[in-house]
Amino acid sequence: MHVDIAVDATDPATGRTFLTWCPVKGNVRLTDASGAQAPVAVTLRNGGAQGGGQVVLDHQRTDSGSPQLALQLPLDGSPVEFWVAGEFQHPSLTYGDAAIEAVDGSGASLGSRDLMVRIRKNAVSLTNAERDRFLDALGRLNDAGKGPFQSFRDTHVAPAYYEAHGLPGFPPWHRAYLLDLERELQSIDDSVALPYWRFDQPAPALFAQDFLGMPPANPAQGDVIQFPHGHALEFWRTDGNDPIERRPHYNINGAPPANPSQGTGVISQQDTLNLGSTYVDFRRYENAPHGYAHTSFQGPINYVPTAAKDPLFFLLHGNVDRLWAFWQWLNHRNDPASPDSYSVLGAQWPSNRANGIGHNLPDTIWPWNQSTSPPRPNFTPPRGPMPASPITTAPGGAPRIQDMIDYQGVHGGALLGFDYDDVPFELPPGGPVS
Amino acid sequence: MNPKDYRRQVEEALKASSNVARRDVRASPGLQAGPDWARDLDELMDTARNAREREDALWRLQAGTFLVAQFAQYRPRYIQALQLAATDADQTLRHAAFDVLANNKDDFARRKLTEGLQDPEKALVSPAVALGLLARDDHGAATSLARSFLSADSDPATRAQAVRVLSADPASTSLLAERMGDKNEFREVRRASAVALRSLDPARFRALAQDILADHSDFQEIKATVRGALERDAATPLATPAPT
Repeated sequence: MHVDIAVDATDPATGRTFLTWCPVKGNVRLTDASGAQAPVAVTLRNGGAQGGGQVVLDHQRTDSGSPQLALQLPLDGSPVEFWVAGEFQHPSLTYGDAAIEAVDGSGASLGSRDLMVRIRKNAVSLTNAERDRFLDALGRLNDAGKGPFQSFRDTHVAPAYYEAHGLPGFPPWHRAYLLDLERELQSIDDSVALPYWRFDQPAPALFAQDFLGMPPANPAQGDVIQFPHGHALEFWRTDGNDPIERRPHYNINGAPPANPSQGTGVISQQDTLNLGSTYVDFRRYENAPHGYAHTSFQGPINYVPTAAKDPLFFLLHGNVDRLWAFWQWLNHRNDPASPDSYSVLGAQWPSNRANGIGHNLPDTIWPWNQSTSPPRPNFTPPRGPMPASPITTAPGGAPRIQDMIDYQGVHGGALLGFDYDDVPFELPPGGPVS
Repeated sequence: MNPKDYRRQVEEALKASSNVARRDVRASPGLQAGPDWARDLDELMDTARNAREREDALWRLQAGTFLVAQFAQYRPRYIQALQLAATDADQTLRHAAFDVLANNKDDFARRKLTEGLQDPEKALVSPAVALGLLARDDHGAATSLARSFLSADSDPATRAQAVRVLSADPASTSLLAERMGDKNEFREVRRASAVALRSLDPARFRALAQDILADHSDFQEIKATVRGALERDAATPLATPAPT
């Protein structure tokens, strides 16, 4: 007897399945019913490696699945639907360390599906193998300055200031930007998820030589990062010939300084969440902690038009996005239709975009919309349409602001295909389950 | 963990640590007040103040630049303040100011850095820092200076930064290949030369890299560097022959 297990979040090209905390549909069917006279009782359960990713299962879309699910499979091979998600706080370390296994009443295995619970993690919690896969993919994306990374660097530039900075669209624009980068990394190595720099906590492991590195101890020797010989980012280049330059002006064995009484510095997660429970209040986090995280260093990362030259940018913004995601979850702010979740209220529009184009909920986001019409930047968009994901249809090639808000599909939309290690999937009280 | 249980855990932790009964009660009046860039500018320009306080003001202002539209009215005075700080007696403040000015491709900074390289009496930062900052801005302007330092200066950091400047100069290809292959050169300079040569002339880089890998008397560090590059280029590094 044998069963086949299928899951929606499966890359049709590779057959590999990737889960987040968000439930997706699956189905299981008998492919060999030999010996059975009646519908076969099977149990779906975790079948992965010890210490690997874990899944939860349910008959319907919920946020409270179980490690096991009992089903009756028809003899005619008709599929029986179920829902599966990664079990919160039990992400994978590598592909295939998680699995859904089908067993019969005696516990005998009838089939299984290997998968990965692929989650964005705190950079300092990565295993060496996870870190090295990420760095290798990043290095290949850069390809000594000749790879697609340059188009990311060319997107975060002065003419695009008002697409992304100082205005309400700051969080959703950067969410799209990270998603684009992560999907490019995953096209190189599909087991990679973008890690984040939890900048309000000490993160010496992130700045260790074998990760993002440090400059020479003596400032008089310049600020170029000194990687070990053979490091994946050793040949990192942007703008033709520029290496990574960065020098922290805080002690990396601690966190960058904060001055919450003045509302300045890299304020803690708690102080960030306390900015307020409405979007208008919360988006002030663009200054503190976000701006101060950037200016915790000398080097291109401390200036908008040059910041994206440094790969640290993407881990820094991973945390900026995680803070937004955490705030969204904590305050139930995933519904794009709610002004508490997103609002342009109080925005001070620059003179060239009095209507706030690019920041209203239905507006498409540059550069993925490929627009060169004013007030959008008048040069060829460095990036093409948002890359498609093999595991989700969202957000499409030309994402809108509203597509970035309910990234988990809590309100029934398609999920974007990422999650953070400390932000669970939770349906709103009395909210939709289908 | 069930998300509902996790929510209770997070909410309790937030309440306990912030001592507020409701999440949406602001923890601090300062968070409501927002930045005071006019005050920060006064502090940065106040040469009577402690240099560390002025540097803190500089970084508060630089954080403000991320709020582009709101900061725009302060920007001209900010650049003035940075130029003032770049000539301050405090070395750390000078370095920070030059760093920001170089990112802004500021003419004043370019001039001061170039003057300092031409005349050590006028140097406001070390040659290695000056070359690095000029390379960030405009490689072309510093090419001849970089060649001079590479031929005459023995400081490895300065030499490596000079190589970096030359990495944009096709006329320096042979010089860079020479530095990459010279076993008597500092390893940082050889590494920087390898990076530059790979960019300027990939075929020549590959040939020289294979030579280095085949030379059992060469150093493991530079071998690791070129081997990694070849592997990422999908070129097959030759096996290093065993010493005979």
